[in-house]
Parts: sequence; structure tokens; C-alpha cells
Amino acid sequence: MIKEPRPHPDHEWLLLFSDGELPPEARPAMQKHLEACWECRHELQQIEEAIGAAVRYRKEALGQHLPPPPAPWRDLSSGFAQIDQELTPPSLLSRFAAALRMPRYAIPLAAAAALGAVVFVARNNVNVPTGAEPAPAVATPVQPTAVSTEQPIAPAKTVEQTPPRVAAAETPQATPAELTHSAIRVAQLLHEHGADLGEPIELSRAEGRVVVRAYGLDSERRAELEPLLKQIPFVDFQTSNGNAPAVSTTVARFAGVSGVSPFQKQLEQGLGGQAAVDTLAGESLDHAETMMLRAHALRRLAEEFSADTLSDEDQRALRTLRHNHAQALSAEVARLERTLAPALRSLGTAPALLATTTAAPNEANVFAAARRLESSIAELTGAKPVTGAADQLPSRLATDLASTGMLARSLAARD
Amino acid sequence: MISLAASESFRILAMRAKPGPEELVTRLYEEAREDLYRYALTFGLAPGEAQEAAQEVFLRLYQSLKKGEDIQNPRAWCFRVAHNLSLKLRARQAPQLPFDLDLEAKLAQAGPGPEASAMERERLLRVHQAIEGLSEQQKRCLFLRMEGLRYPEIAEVLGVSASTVGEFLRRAVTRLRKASRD
Repeated sequence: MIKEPRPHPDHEWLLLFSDGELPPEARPAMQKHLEACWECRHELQQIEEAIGAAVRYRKEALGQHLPPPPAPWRDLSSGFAQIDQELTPPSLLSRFAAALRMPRYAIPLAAAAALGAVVFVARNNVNVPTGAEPAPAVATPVQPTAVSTEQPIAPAKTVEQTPPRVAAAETPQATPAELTHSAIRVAQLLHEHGADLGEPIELSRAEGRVVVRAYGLDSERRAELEPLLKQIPFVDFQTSNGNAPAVSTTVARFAGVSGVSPFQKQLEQGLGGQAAVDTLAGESLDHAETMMLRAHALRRLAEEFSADTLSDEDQRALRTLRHNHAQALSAEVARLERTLAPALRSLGTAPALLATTTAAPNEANVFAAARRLESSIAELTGAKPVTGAADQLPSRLATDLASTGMLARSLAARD
Repeated sequence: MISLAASESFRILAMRAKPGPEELVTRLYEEAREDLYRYALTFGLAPGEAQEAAQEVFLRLYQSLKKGEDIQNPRAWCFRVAHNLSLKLRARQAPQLPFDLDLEAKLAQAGPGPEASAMERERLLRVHQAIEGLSEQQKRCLFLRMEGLRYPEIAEVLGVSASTVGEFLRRAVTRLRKASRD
């Protein structure tokens, strides 16, 4: 029997074979061919020699003639530690601490109260006589506004005071309508820049001026907002050069907190372990915080503008602002409902389907409801001691969820 | 038959045997940092920059492992990251001239040594010239293969198919054959 002469494999196949990259099914045939064919074996040997030349080149040319590293090799352990730190999610402990800190939405007012004085005052529409000494500056103490937080604020110990740069010059007086219009524009601007959610920036009106006070704003943020605010007439932008006063109540308050849910065992059983309970606690505290920021922003708008007679344009602008906040608030409550549903189920509590509030859908009521809900969540997650009957807590939470949700939806639908 | 208890303890042993990210990266750093440094140098980076890049690669490896990324061959992974990082750094230094390694002059320079090394040096110089004559992609293929990467791994670094890698390497090897034979 005469066999067909086998074609010689080309060089690429020989290299693939030598590199172990040949498909497994092709290997036996190649092996057989090489056993039979001197020519290809010789080819293969030459390929191996070329590989040998490359290996020598790497070792001797690159290895010995390239410049050595200029510096000693760094110890990577500090780099590892930094990465570890960046990757570690905030511990539940610090989350609780955050939940117990003064709420972010309360900072502007609190800061004003604690600082007692606003330091830099930059006024627009001010004609400073050129060549003349700036008029002697008068630091206007900020009246501590009625602080609406439930938590006392530790007064700042040291407040750096820089002489204010106020030019007490003639300032054009705004009509009430103009002033309202300016204030609405400021509110819009702050909203567009996300500066109406817990940032220490406060809008108010006094003596024919719209006053925007910012506390401890970093220079980048200031550079972003200041030029825009200055374009709006009758606006004074005031910033303090210090940080918002540190709130030192956290640790003391935290000491009284277990960090463990009063229903820990049941929740672990229902949710599948401690990690799941921790996750639920972290997520619901997150959502609760966002919810409160929205509720506060809504309430602030109502407080600021409820007494105004608004032009159509201003009315529309205000509606848009309110609608955005109410919708975001409602979405946040929906997130809370989803997050908390498994917890409520494992505690044997059905979500309250029927609305249980008869409160009118307005900003004050939605804020109060959100505040109750936040408190119930803090109690359930162990971030706050339980007030009232502990066994009633799950059903209280379900009720708070339902009523806050209902009020938020009504507000969103209103505008 | 393996009892359940035995297989359980085997599983625990296997788990213990697998090094954690810190151990793995530290070990690989000791082994491979010079290789990565040299690879970065071949892009024309200045030595200081190439060393920084090599160090950065291992920190990124650590970060990826810590994030739970499944990295089959950490060494190949490092070369891929070093490749991309070096390209980026080289692009940034665009206006300057690339750092000249001056390898040819160094290889040609006859240093003190036995006569046999002169011949060897001659051969290295020819191999060097052959490699310099390759296209950038062919050269990268060859360097990465020299560093022990398999075809699919090289393909991933260069963004080409594994068969293209085979073709590039064949051309590179053909040149090397000529250079080392002449």
C-alpha cells in the first residue's frame, strides 16, 4: 500500500508546535510527521535556536545593558494599606455615628448660631469710591435664627474672625417683587448646583437684600457659586472663613447606643445573617438621610416663599423646585419601602397598605412624617434607643413609611 | 472513597494554600518587577518613569485582587497593565524625545573579557539589529513571549487575535534565525 506523501507543515505551525500553542487535535499528526521527516525536525531545531537567541538577548542585552532602576524599589505595604482604606466601606459604627451627628440639613442655621458673626461680606451693586479708604467695616452679628434641630449644638470654641470687607455704600433698594424674584432665582441657582441639599448654604431676606450665607465652603465650590450669585441683583453672598463648627456631641451620644437592633436575632434569621442585617441598616440609614435632605429643602422653600405674592414666572419656578424635591423625596421613601420590606416581613409585620394619616399634604407635615420615619429606622437598626413600646416598633415603622410615602406622593402630584 | 471529613479538611488546606492578595503581590513584586521595569523601558520611558510605572502596576494588581477580581495569570495581567500604562506615559511625554537606551552602542562596545565573549557580543548585536528591524507590534509580541506570556495573553495585551500573534512571532523568529545563523 502506498501512502500519500504528507505535506510539510509550514513554519508557523512548527513554531506553534514548539510553543505548545497547536490545537490538541493537531498535535499527534505533527508529532508523527516530525518523527518521519528529517527536514522538518531540522527546521524545528532552527526555530529552537532562534528562540535560544532571543532568550540570550533578553538575559544578556536587556538584562545587563539597560540602565538599572534609578531608585531602590519601594516597599509596597503603605500602598497596600492605603488601598485597603479606600476600599473599606464605612463601618456600621461610623454609619451610626453619622446618623447621630447633627443632621446635615440643620448645619447652616446651627453654624450661624454658633459663629455669631459672618465674616466676609461681599456685596454686589456696591459702588466703592475709588481711591478712598474703604469705609470702616462693621461686622454684623447674625441673629441666631430659631434652630429647628432637636439636637443641641456645641458652640465652636474658636472662631477665627477676619475683619469684614464691607463697603457700607449706597445700595439700591429693591421693591418687594424684585426681591422675591431675586430670591427665587437664587433658590433656582442653588438647586441647579445641588447646593440646596445639606450644604451649609442658607438663603434669607433682610432689609431689602437677599442674603446667601455659606459656612466653611471650600474654595472650589465658592469659586463656582460666587460669580453666578453675583449676577443676580440685590444679592449679598457672605462666607465665613472657618469651618462649620464641629459637633462634638457624637461620641457622647454614641456611647449610649448599642448599635444592635432590638430585633437582631429575628432579623438575622429572616434576612440570613448578621452581614445582611448590617447591609440593611446601612442602606436604610443612607436612604433616610437623603430623604431628610429633600424634606428639609421642601420645608425651607415653603418657609421662605409662602408669604410672597409671586409673579407667574416665579410661581412656575417655585413649582418646579418643589416638584423636583417632592418627587425625589417620594422616590426615596419608595426605596426605603423596598429596603425595609424584608425586615418587616421577618418581624411578622405586613406593610401598612392603607394610608394612616389624615394630615394635610403640606411641607411641614411631610417633614414631620419623614422625621418620625427616620427616627423609627434609627431605632430599628439600633442607631438610637427605642422610645416607646419596643414590640410596637415594627408596626410603627410600617405606618411611618406609609404615611410619609402618601404625603410625599401628594406633594409631588400637587405641583 | 474519601470521607466527607477528609474532603472537608482538604478543602480547608487548599484554601490555606492559596495566598492572599498581599502575599501574592509581594511575591510577584520580588520576582517580576525588574522584568516589568525593563519592558516599560523598551517603550522609551525614562528609567525613573519606568520604575514608577512598574511599581504602580503592582499596586493596581493588589487593588484588583482586593476587589475580588478573578485574575488567572497575575504575571500576564501585570504585563498587560504595564503595556497600557507605558503607552499612556509615552503619549504624555510626546513632545520630548523618547529616552534613548543606546543599547546598540553598549553592545558594540568591547569590554574587557575573554575572546569568546567578543563573538557572543557580535551575535547579540546582530540579534538586536534584527529585533530593531521588526515592526512595533512584532517587537511587542516577541518581548511579551520572551516574558513567558502565551499567545492568547499577548493577543489580549495588543488587542489582536491569537492567530495574528502567531503570524507576528513567526516573522520575528524568522529574522532571529537569520541573525543568529549569519
